[in-house]
Amino acid sequence: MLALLIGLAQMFPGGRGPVGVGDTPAAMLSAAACADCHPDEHREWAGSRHAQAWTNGIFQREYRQKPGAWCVHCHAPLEAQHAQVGTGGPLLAEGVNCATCHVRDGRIHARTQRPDSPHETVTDDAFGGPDWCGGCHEFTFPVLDGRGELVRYTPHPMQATVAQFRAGPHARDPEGCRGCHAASPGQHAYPGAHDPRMLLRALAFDVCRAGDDVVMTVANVGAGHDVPTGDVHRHLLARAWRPTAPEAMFEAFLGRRYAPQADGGKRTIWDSGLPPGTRRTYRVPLAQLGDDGGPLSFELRYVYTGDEFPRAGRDPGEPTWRVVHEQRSAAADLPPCD
Amino acid sequence: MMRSMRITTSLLLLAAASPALAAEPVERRLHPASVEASSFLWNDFNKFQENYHPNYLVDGDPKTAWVEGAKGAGAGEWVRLKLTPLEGATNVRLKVRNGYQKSPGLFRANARAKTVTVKVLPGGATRQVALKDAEGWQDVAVALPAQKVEAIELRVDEVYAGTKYEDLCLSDVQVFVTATTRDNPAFEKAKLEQIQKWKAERLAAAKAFKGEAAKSMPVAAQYQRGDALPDRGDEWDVWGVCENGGQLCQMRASVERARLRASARFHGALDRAVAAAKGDFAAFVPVQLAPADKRKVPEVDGLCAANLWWALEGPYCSEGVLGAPMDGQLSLYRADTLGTLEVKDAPALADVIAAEAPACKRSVATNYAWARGEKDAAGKTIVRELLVVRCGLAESREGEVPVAEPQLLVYGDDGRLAATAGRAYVTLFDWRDAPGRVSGGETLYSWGDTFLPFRAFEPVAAR
Repeated sequence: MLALLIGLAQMFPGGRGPVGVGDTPAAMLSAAACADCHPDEHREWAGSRHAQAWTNGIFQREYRQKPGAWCVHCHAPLEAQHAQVGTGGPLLAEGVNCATCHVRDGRIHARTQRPDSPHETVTDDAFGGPDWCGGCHEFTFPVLDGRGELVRYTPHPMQATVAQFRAGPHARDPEGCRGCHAASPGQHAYPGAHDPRMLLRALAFDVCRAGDDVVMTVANVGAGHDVPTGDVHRHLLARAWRPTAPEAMFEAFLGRRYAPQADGGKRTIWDSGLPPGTRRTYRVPLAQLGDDGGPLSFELRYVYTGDEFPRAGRDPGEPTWRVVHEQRSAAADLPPCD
Repeated sequence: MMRSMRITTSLLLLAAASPALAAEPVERRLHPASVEASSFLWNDFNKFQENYHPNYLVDGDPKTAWVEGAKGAGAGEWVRLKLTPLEGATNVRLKVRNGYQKSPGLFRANARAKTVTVKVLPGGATRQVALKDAEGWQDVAVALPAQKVEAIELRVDEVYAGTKYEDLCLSDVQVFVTATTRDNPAFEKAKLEQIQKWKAERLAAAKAFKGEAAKSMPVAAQYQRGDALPDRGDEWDVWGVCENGGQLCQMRASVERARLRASARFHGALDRAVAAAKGDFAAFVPVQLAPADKRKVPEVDGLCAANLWWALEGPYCSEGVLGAPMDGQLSLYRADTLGTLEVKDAPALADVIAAEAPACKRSVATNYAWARGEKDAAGKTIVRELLVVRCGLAESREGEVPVAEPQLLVYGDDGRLAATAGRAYVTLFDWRDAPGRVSGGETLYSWGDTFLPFRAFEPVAAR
């Protein structure tokens, strides 16, 4: 067993460049090389968003329109993947694969080493902890050049999932991010906002009646970070409407807005996302929703893209939204608000 | 004037691609994004379709109406309302404002529907219903065995004759369908807003073309797409061609592709566009546009102007043909009315394209321009090709973003606009059938390699 030989900054250059694996045989770079001995881990990874980091339709849609080199550093992080960007290739299609986190200089990096492991393994208790995740899930707005390569980072957070976690109630959880995101049997599924079970676990949605108003409450009851978090386009929509009057629908937006900065990059100027343990309430006059007396519908929807309904030529080929909670009720049947 | 109406409804197609989860049957209102009709009246009273068009059936305004345009009192005429596709539909309920309900006098003066056949598509279930000869809303319902619903057709079988006019009118139709497909209120709301925007554009066009000002408008009252030309059969799309490329690469790819597909009469203009793009616009000099006429061309039906928003999501028109001159600037249609002044300290084209020029960080958009001119016999420099890059802050859902959208304009020997090209479209303009106005042309949509002819329509004399 080897002591930790290289620092985290060298493991993950924070989007400043591709992940270098040093003197590593090419055969160690593909996830296929791991599958025989680690079938459970490989199977979970293969179904994960990590495995789709390069190929998923939402990323590809944005990347094709604006193919920034900086994006590749986290969506296909390995140097050998970068080499396939122009031509495509099986390694590129693996997105964030086993080697992204586990292989450097021909050695395996992990928290522990199995007794029967044939690998030369570097162990580190912090492996897979928040700092590791932060290698791609915590960064500030970049200033990019014409090729989309990083010129410099601004001081303004763009994705701050790890910082949000550290400010939240689960910060002292020894499992860190893994406590929720690596809780599967193989510990490599890393479910997130694209998994409906994770959304249900994170978000509560309640509706009640207060006189002539309906009151919707959205709460972050389960996530250790803000919801939404991560990609800047993600947002939540809390909606109330009568199906017979969609044009009178009430909609609340929970997400972020940005402003460009004079010296480049952007800055968040408005954020209505839900930090851990917080709730937001919306009071809507019933009369505002149309007055035909029909049933009311309520919905909490998670939208992954800026455009909920992509227009012609912009369909990413995967869902752009997911309904987290929904409810239909006559106004008279709604429980009174306490 | 009578004609068949077909307007594409791209939003509908997109809704079908969205996740649809089973739900209990619920009656919901559906807003069509557009309405087809067997005909509609088109004359000097609605040159810009500010009334009578079948879309006015679904604008919720009793002062507007679908007015059929066939000879006779309207029996046999039909409208088709395309809807968000729904599964498991068991009931269709329509609320109808019969006749032209702008006023009691007009209601009586025009024909009203007496019996109509409601057809539910694609299944084809029909029911003939009688309508009362009365103002206000009246309900019609069609119960169905559970089936898919994509459109509702109303065919007029018998009419109540008008006291003055033969034309059959319907002011409004609202559609309610009981079905199991998930309710998507924002999508329906967006379609109503699309209709309202279309209506506002028609009214704005009517205002802009009023009186003497209309004579100098370089466009007709309306354009209509023809059928797409057959695919070449080879896979091609501008995004794939320009992997890691930029907007100018995509523009170059688009004009090269258009050169392969356009009619021969456009080859001259396209050859110059290709040469300009291949040469990275090196022969172009930075200029400031100084148009004599600063009016904007209104959004006429079937033709839409390039705008800054396209930089965020790619060139797009919900209806019509892409590629009218940037931001609807009238002066860009004719080089001889397009004044230019050479600029000495202009920012580099690359900086503007990257939206890094200082003006690109402002809310009010700025046009940067580069031109290649040739001297005419009198020694006056005439613009032959012009590259306009509009940049500024565009509002996205997440906030303002600095963006830039380029457009290349190529002028013919007569100084009239011959072609526009952007990063995913090329539009070629004909002026041959209507001096002073674009009479039609051809356009390439780079995604999917769709190539379309389009042509102008003009209303006939007032009744």
